[in-house]
Amino acid sequence: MRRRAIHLCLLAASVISAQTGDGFAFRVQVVNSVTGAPIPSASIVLEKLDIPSTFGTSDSSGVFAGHVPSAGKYLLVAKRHGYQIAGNMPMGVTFDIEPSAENSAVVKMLPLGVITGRVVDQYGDPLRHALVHGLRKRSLPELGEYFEGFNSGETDDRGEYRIAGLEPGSYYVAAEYGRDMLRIGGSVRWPEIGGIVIFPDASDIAGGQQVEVIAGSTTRMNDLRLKLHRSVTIRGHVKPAPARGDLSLSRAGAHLGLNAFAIQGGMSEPDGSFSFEVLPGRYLLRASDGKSGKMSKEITIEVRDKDVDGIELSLDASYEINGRIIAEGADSAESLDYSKIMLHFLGMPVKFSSDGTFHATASPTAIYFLQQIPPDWYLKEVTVGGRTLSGKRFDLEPGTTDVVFHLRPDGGSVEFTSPSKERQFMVLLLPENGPPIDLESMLHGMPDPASGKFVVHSVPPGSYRAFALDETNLLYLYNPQMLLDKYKSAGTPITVAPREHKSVVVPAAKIPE
Amino acid sequence: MKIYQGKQEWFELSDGEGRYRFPPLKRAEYELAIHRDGFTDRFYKVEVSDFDDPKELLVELMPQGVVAGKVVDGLGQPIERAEIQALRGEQIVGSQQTNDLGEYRLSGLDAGAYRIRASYRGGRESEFDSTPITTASVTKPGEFSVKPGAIIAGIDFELHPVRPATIHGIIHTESGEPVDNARLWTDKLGNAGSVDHGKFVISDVSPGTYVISARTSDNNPRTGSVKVDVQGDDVNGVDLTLRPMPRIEGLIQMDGSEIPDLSALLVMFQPANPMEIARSSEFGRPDRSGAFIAGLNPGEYVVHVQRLRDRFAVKRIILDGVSVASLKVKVDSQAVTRKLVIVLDPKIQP
Repeated sequence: MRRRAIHLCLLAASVISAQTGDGFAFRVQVVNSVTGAPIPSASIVLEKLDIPSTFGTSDSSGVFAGHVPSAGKYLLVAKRHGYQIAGNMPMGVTFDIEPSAENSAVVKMLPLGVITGRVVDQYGDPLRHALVHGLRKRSLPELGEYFEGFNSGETDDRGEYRIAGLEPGSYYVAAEYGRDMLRIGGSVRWPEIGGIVIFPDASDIAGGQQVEVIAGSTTRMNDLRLKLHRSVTIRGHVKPAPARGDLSLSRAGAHLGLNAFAIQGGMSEPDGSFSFEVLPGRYLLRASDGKSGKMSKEITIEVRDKDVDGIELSLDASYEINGRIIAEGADSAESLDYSKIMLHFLGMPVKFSSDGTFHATASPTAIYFLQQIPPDWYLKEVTVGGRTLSGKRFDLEPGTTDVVFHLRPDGGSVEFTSPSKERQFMVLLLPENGPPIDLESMLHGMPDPASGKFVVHSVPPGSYRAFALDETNLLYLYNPQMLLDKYKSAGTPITVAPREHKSVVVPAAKIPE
Repeated sequence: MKIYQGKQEWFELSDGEGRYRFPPLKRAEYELAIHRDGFTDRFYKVEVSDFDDPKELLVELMPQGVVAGKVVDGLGQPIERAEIQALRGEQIVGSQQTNDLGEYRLSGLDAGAYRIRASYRGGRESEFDSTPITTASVTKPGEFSVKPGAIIAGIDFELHPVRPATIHGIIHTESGEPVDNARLWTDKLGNAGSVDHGKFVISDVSPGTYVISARTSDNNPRTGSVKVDVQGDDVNGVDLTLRPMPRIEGLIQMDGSEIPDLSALLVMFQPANPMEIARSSEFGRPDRSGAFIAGLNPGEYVVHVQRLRDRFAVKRIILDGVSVASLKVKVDSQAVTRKLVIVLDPKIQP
């Protein structure tokens, strides 16, 4: 009986301490998710719509305690160099602060990895100001395989570098020295000197080996030997001399996103001549005339240690589109007003004839944007050269290509109501079946803050899953296919029949941490 | 290595033994410049006589120095991405960021005396990032003497990042009238925003002592400064009084020539000491007859007339009736008006 009384007293005390004149008490502890050790000096922010954020820094025990002005659901964000919030919640975790409870939370942060090593030149001398990157192989349906640069480190006077803040995983390590890195003061102009090496000793990613980075660990690499070259000049002519000649020079092979070999753009002189300063390597060069839309073929140039002269680029190729909109549904075809539809291929809007045909010029890799379709109509299919297109991007061959947009008049609409007016949500409407979905093609929008509603028009009939994402899982906006593949059950099933207008309330998507 | 004469230039890289060879050159005078990372640049003059008895020119390069240390916060935790700067006077001559261990190595320092400053600005990284900005800055008292090839280690810092403050204040004349259209700047932050109806706001100010200055550029130029101490909290009610400043009443004259429209010219008063950042260049904008007014803070200035093209040159300048040598004028703190006459001379066309 006595023990119970003490218990009640303690409970009463905790309730009193939870709600004081300062607001509602909370305690947050930040810990290392691998070792469990407290993390001092982490920045902590508690965010809630319409009230000022509460922020502070964790102490030597990893603790930040304080008061917030009102109870409710908060977004708890913790940041510390060398760590990221563990689990699937990179932007923060939700923290429910209740009026009559001890509000405490533990934020687990994943310690990130570090790659260290040394860069030397061809003579074995330490190379200062080289940039060393951790690159991860990625793949996207529209872009194919590419290499994403994570953090990088700059070498010091001993050639030593540290690439910190790396998520666990496999990395290519690429060191570069070149453009913007040669820090020479004074008025003397020097030629560019530079080079690249990919661990262990490759000049191309195909010869590179990946390095495994483990959470909270430092991986020491063998020395990277970076051979320095002097830049050489590529010179040539564009024929016939274009009114506005644009030149594009890029390094051949996988795009690594490095500074020393970044894509260079340039303009030809009025007589069609051009020149580029480059480091040795294989390059792709193309010219285009912004006025006529004509292009040259893309040529490959092997650059060694001597200037390359006499390159000729002939503007004899054009990438043109002969297109049309086919309005399916015999009764409605005449009611479609083509002049109100907006279509462009990353250039000027195309002009439609009265029968829905159009002509446009585009780049070899095109992307279409079709907007302002009348509300009840929807885009059923796009064909390029007779083949059905998945996504919005497509490649063109030199010459003329047929592109057809098939519109139907029996689209539906869905009015979404946000799960809460207090918080911002992004609603995604993803088709359950069909080809992979990309960011550019999916239907999505943000409810109006005042009404909490928004309407998606031109919805093709079919089965969908709707997801209301908040700050904690908004990153799935950039990978909708993964959201559908992994967390389909967290989406609200919606079926839209022809010409159907639906109203739905979408609950916040519950995606496990 | 680069050897050059006028616009002609030749480059060579020394080999693994440090040897270099330029292609055969005509007998003439040349400039020779040598750069190697980690060493002080060297410059030589190649004389015509050097071609009489060709021999190997030995170039000796002096290794640069390094200052190294660590930056931690009040809990002893390393601070990553703190900026370390080497200063000569107020000029930043080298900078380096700390790594994930809070360590830095500031290299490439020519022999000389330096002050070392550590500053940090962290927090919000994008408009979607809610983390507040925190800043800190500490400059080590005294100078470090860096000798060629020396490594001065253990120059450690403890920083205590805090939220930057906002300074609010008013600008007015001695009679209390609010001043608009004044240029506002601070000694450490440079331009510091605009003045609206006599009120000013300077945001994102780290702890420290600042001199806030303002001036107007009308026909009655006024200037004023006030010292403000920022300790982390916002500073309100800063009172900045502008007083009449030394004034130049100028006139551009043509010597022996018909006076063209002189309103296209610009008279620049450039601080005579190019390292000085407390004063900036001031300008006088002549009217069609060449008359202009400029307000100058006390100090010495070099007078330039811009946009003369190749047709005219400054022949002489006369301050209060006295010809001035070297095109330099000195202005003291007394708020008096001084008369400056700039005489232009048509250039003889070839």
